[in-house]
This record gives sequence, structure tokens and C-alpha cells, in this order.
Amino acid sequence: MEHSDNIRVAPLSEGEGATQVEGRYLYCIADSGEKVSLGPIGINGHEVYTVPCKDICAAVHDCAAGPYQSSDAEVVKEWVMAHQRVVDKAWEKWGTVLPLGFDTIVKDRGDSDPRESVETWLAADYQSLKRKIEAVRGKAEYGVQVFWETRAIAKSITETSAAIGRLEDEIRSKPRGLAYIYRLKLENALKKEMEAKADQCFRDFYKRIKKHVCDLRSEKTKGTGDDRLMIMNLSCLVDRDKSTDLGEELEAIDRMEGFSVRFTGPWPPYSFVGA
Amino acid sequence: MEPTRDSHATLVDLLDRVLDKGLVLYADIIVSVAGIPLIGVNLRAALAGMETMLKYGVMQEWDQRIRAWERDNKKHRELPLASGEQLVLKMLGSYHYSQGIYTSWRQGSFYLTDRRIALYLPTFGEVLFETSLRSIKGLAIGRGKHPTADEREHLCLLLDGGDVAWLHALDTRQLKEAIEREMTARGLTCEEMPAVALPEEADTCPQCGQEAAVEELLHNGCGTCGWVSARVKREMLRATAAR
Repeated sequence: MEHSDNIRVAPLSEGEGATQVEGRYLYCIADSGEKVSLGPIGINGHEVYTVPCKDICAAVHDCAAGPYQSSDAEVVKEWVMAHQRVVDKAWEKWGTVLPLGFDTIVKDRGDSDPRESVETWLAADYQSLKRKIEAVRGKAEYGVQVFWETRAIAKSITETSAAIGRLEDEIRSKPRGLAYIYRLKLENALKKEMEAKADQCFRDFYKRIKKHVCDLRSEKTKGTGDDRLMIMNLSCLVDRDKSTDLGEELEAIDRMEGFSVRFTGPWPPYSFVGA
Repeated sequence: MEPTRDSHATLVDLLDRVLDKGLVLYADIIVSVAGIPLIGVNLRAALAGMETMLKYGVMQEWDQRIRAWERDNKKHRELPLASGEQLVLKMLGSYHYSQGIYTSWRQGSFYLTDRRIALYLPTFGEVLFETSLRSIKGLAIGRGKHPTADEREHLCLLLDGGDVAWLHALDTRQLKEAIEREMTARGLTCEEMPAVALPEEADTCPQCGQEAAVEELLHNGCGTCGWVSARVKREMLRATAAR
């Protein structure tokens, strides 16, 4: 990755040092026209300050016009945590923020005032930024992941499904060679029933969760490395004072036999400020 | 149910958001790396690596099960040795098999032990060729034609009773030396002898039915009845025309 031809500007080293300042690293847009310093809380201890435009501002630090990159996962983790710390700080201070993704750097255009490129952008995009701020005002993002225990669900399906019960009875009456073929049949039938069940659960839970949120995105499900299977992965935008309602609904799902729920947040609304 | 943001337990949730999401800017004012946050890609790779390893762990267990099955069900992967028999050398190779007019090089693994040399086909647990060291009377390296190679070295064994065996191995000379060393160690004498040529492919004369070597028939004709091949006729005609 570090040898990619796409890198037009020399990347920053991890230590940086006296690199020429030619860009601004963006953390977030905040709902305030204040021009202040947030202190040396940025990536690699950089001083974070705001660039205001009317009643909004961008939290930035000065950097070289090259992306932060490292093959050391620990270093990257540190950077990502620092990024998040700054966004959290701004969120706490001003109530509403539009977080940016990691490594968003605005380059200077060679104007007399180096901050001008950020200001110019804020002014040009002011209307759309304001709209986005209004859309997330007073809200926070929550992550909701629902898992099921494959074994437990499979067991309950085999106990309740008539079709599978019939197949199981047939297996017992077959000679061993045929039983193998029946076993395959049984596995296929079980797989189909489990897919249908996952589908049905998804729709049911989705409906129940939707009642308590302003907006939601369905994300890709992930592997768990154990017997559990993630059957849904949602990002939810929730009114801050309604998160307990969502929590109660999730509690009910979590209590269901064979199901568990992971509830994370509150996060700045990363999933609801994109295009 | 209370939401959690414990920094250890939710690191992946944080990365999902900070690396993949957030406000999007117009590309012309940001430092672009082909639109891809390299860092995200790097870290993703590290995380993906972890998942792959987990998967690999599963595969490893599966692999071990398969191997155990193989071990239990295919007991004859190796040439069964007599008690006290010592394996000296194992090498891929083949021997010249001939049965009537049918000849071929049959492939397998040579097992040289302190008692015998055998060519073993593990897939079917079949011994293709075998002779005790005691019955080897002479060895020689010869050269001969081979269907898949122009010419290659083979090891010619003169056996008790006048039989000759032709062997070829990954390293034919090494095999020969090993046999000789083993025989000497056991006090057996073997002589370096002139190589015996591989038997030529035999055919019969289309006129008189007498057996003759293919090459001979093709180039000179039949020595018994005087039949000549089309090739010989053509060559004779050409020679006459030139004169």
C-alpha cells in the first residue's frame, strides 16, 4: 500500500517533525460560529482549532498535504481514537456535529491566508451543511446487531417443523446407505427453513426497531468466529431522549430464546451525514 | 438495555464508522489518494487477516480430520517392510515393463532397502517390480530412447538367471551408487558390465510374418524375404533419379 503510485504527495511520516504546512486535517463540522482552540488533542498531539463561517465551524489541525498512513495497526488505532476524541469533544461542546471520516485533508490552494480553502468550502457548501446539521440535531447514532445461536435455532426448528420431522422418521426406517442421502436432504431442508426464519426475524425486528428511531441503515452482517450468526446489523439515528425506548425493545429481543443483541453508542451520526 | 461505548469492546464499531463513513467532501479540494483512505484499507486488511485466521483455524481442524481418516483408511501408503528390514533410499522412478508385444515404463517409488530394490505404487499398494540384492549380478548405465524424452540414462540390472531389468529414476546414477554401496556392505559382489541395449520394439514383416525390429523393417526392409517398405522404395527411386 505504501508504494502505491496513486500517492501524489509524499506521505507524512509517523513522527512528522517540521513538515511544511500545506493542508488542514478535518475532524468535524460543528453547530457554532466560535473561533477557538480545543487544545493539543488531535492526531499526534496536534493543536485543534476551529475555522468558522457564519454560524458553523470546522474543527481542524494544520498538517502536510499527504494522508496519514501506516502499516502498523496499533499506530492507526491510536490515530482513529484521537480522531474520535476530537469529534466527541466538539460534540459535547456544541451539541451537534457532522463527523468526517478519517484522513480527510483539505489542501491549501496557495492563497495568502492558508485557512481560506476551508473557509471557501464552508461558505460554498453552507446551505447543504446547515441542512445536514438540522437533520441530526438532538439525535445520536446507535449500533444494533442481532445474533442468533445457530445450534439453538436449528434445534427449535427441527422440533417444530413438520417437514423435517417426517424426514427424520424416514431416515430411521432406511438402510444405512440411503440414510446418508436422507441426511443430505435433511440438511438442505434445515438450511432452507433457517433462511426463511432469518428472513422472518429480520422483518419482524426491523418493524419493531423502526418504531423507535428517526432513520436507520441496514449494514452488512459480519462473521462472529463462534456459533452465533449475525442476522442483522443496523445503524440507527435516534432522538437522544428516546434511546431508552429503543433499549427496552432490544431488551425484549435479547430475552428471546437463542437470540442476543449488541447495542452500541451513542456515536456521532457518522452513518447519517454522507451523500 | 443500555447502549455501550466501552472503547475496547466497541473498537470495531468505531472503526466501521470512522473509516468508512462520515461527511463526504468534493474530491477536488481534498488530498486524494484515488478516493481511497489508504489507512482504512491497511487496517481493514489487518482485521480481515484476523478473520481469515479464525477461518483457517476451522480449516485446520477439518484438515486434521481428513488426514486422520487417510491414515486409518489407507494403510499402505508405504511399501510394507519385513521386520528388521531397513529402508536406505526412496526415489521416484519407473521400470521398463514388457509383456509380449506390450511394453511401457511403469512409474512408482523405488524403495531400496538392505535386502531388496522394489518399485512401489502407493495409490494401489502394488509392487510393480522387485528383486533381492542377492540376485543382482551386474549393473550398468545405458542410454536409450524414451517416449517422453529424446534419450535418457537408465540403469540396467543383470539378474540371476540371465534376466535383465531396465530402471529409470529421478537420479539414476545415485540409485545405482546406492545399490552398489548396499551390496558391498552386505558382502555381495556385483560387476560393472557393458550396458545392455533396451529391446527394440518388435513388429512382424507384412510379407512373410517374420518378427523383426520396427526400425530395421522401416529402414532396410525384411532380411528374411526381401520385402522393402514404401520409404525404402521412395529412397531408391530418388537415388536412381539423381544418377
